[in-house]
Amino acid sequence: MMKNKKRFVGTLTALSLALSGCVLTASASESSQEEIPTLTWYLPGNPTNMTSDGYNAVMEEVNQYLEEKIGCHLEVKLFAFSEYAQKCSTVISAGEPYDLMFTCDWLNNFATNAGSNAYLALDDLLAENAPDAMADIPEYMWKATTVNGKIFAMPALQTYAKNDGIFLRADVAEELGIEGSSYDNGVNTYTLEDIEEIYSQIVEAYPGVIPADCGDIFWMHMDEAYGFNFLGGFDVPGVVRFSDEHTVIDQFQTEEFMDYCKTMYEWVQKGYAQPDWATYVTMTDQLAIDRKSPDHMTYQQGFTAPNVASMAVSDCGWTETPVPLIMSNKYAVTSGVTQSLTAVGVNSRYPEKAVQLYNLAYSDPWFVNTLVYGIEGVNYTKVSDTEIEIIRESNYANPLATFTLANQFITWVEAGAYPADVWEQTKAFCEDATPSELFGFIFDSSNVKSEVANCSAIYEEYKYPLLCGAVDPESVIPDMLSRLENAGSAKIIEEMQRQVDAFFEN
Amino acid sequence: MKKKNLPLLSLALPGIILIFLFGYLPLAGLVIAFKDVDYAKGIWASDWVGLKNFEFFFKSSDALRVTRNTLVMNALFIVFTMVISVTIAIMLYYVGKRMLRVTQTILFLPYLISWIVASYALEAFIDARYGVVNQFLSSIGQRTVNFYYLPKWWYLIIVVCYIWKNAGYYSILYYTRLLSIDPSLYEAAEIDGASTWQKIRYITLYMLRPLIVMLCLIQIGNIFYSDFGMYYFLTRDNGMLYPVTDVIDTYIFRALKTVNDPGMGAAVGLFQSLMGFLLVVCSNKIARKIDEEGAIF
Repeated sequence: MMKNKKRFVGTLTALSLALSGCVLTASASESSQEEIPTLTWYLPGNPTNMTSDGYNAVMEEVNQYLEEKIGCHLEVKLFAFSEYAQKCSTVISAGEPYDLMFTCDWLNNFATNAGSNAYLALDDLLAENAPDAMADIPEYMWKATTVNGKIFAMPALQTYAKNDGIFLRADVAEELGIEGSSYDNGVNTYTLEDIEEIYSQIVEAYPGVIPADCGDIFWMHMDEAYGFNFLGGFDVPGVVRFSDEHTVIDQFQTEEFMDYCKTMYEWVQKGYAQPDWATYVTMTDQLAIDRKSPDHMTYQQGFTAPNVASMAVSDCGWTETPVPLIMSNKYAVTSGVTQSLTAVGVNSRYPEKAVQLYNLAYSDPWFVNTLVYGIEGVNYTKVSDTEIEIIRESNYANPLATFTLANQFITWVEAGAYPADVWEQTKAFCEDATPSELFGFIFDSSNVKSEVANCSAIYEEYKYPLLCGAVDPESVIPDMLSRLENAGSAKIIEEMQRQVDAFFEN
Repeated sequence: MKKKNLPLLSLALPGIILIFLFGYLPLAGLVIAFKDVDYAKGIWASDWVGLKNFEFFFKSSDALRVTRNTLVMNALFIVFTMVISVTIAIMLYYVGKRMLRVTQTILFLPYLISWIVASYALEAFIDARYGVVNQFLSSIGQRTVNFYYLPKWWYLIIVVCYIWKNAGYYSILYYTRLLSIDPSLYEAAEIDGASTWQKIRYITLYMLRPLIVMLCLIQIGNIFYSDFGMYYFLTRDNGMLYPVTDVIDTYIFRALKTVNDPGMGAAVGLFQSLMGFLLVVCSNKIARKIDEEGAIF
């Protein structure tokens, strides 16, 4: 039997090798103390659009320029949107000394990272190192990046005002005689019932067409339409109404939530929305939705601004600018700003230079556009002062997303896809938005972490079935509410109310 | 240490190094479970918070459900994988000798396929509109079934998928053990007039017993863990299926992705390991009673 024992030792070893199955990765080599420091900048984007040759060529140009301007080099660490958050949390947990990092409320969460001091407080650095950004970014926007009284990130200028609505394909609108809204507040707005009415017309006029754009969840873009200001994110109980920003309520207990879920349930029953919406909306690739199909007639994407109309054109392959059907006024809310922020790492070795670099991205069109579009003649050709044509097959074909960088309003646009003055239009769109009274309020969940964790886990069980009309809300919502109650939703509301009161006192 | 054991021991060296690097060194990181992590202070200097990080899981009304799902599913896996892979191994041994290489490759292949790929294959079968099953149902005039809305089907679906992926791997392990059985045992049995069934029962299964016990023990050690990828991708993280498919790992992922607290994650991880450890110690004791050789220690 001794022989058998030995064989088992062998099997066991083989097993442990197979089970542990780990791969040793070389630790990132630290840059040696050279004269010109190299700053690292973590960004989400489309790394598949570039090759390392293309990246090196562009960086060579950029670095030459940066050497003169700031006296530093730049290394962009670009990850796909889908893996960015995970990479960042590894980098943060490991205490890596990176310099700049894209952060926001929907990816690589700003509030929680700032709350646990993963980022550097910038109050003393900004005035001296980022004069342009300080001068041009409205003061109230800096409040949105202030946590516990300190500024932890620099906001980007992008579409920071939000409204709700959908886009309707131009030819369909013409066919049905539907007049679009104006981007100005309150001109020819639509309600959810109006939209439903339009959907019924579409179904009648184009048999077999499913009118609702099921590539996303409508509810998340109904906050302004319902007059809600979400304070803790979409999955956490706690909102205020724009009509009374002093009182925190639980959005899941509101009539609006019930009505919304009922409407969606009806839409699915009536064939206005995909029957199995709830099951594929959770997947990022959304294979079941073909936005380029000729049967795809509506588009919704977060907010209904001029630049989103252009996104609709490129996402859906439409030939004309679609008609906006707007459901709310424009509001400047915290989440409009916190959707694109840049933070400096708490262990950064060159915080001053990092802030200067951000300031340059904010104020220098050549720098930021080279970063995004690469080298003229190689990666893009210029059509006019602000319009370019991207050479898709080149080795650096727009791998970065303009809205993640400091100032989207100075970036060039792809000719044809966007009107040349899209950023002026968008800037104007943002500037007459109503700032929320709670602008700059960020909910600090550290006192109710367990409750937030458990409530959001419970809500996620119901979220897609309810919001995508797969279940009857009349029977499901009460069930969900009682479970949320048990998990401490009231405690979250209470804590949020306390923080809101404190916010108004200051 | 006997000198003649050296070659064998050196064979184990890479495994030992790996286990040391990834099994023992990270143990120091367990302190995170008892800390309120503050990145400015670093892990070691962060404040101690006692058992506060454990609260969230045990206070949760879902703790019971996800623990039950985890245990039930894993128990099903252990039993079915064992039965099916032993059967396959025996079949290979008695019948499949002709095309051995091909069969082995086919059996082993699913083990190397990622759950993401598998999830699309599964979708091709059970998709509500275009899936093979539903196309078939509607072609014979039956009502279609949206499997992604109906939790009760998922005991079956998950177990079948798990077996599809892992049974081949285990059956190869069992098969290699079978190959080492001394053929003279069978010859002796034949002379004594044993039937094939008797040979399987009294020789094959008897010889396999220590390995079966050992592999089961290893799986029991991990019974509080789940293959996150399997539950997350196969079900497409679908809320309607949670009554059956929500396991500890997916629940923790969902709960903590909003609050992003490494301390709370580490706390649950520690809990899972401790329970697994206790179970292994207990079941090893039991295994020792059944079969001395199958016990791991």
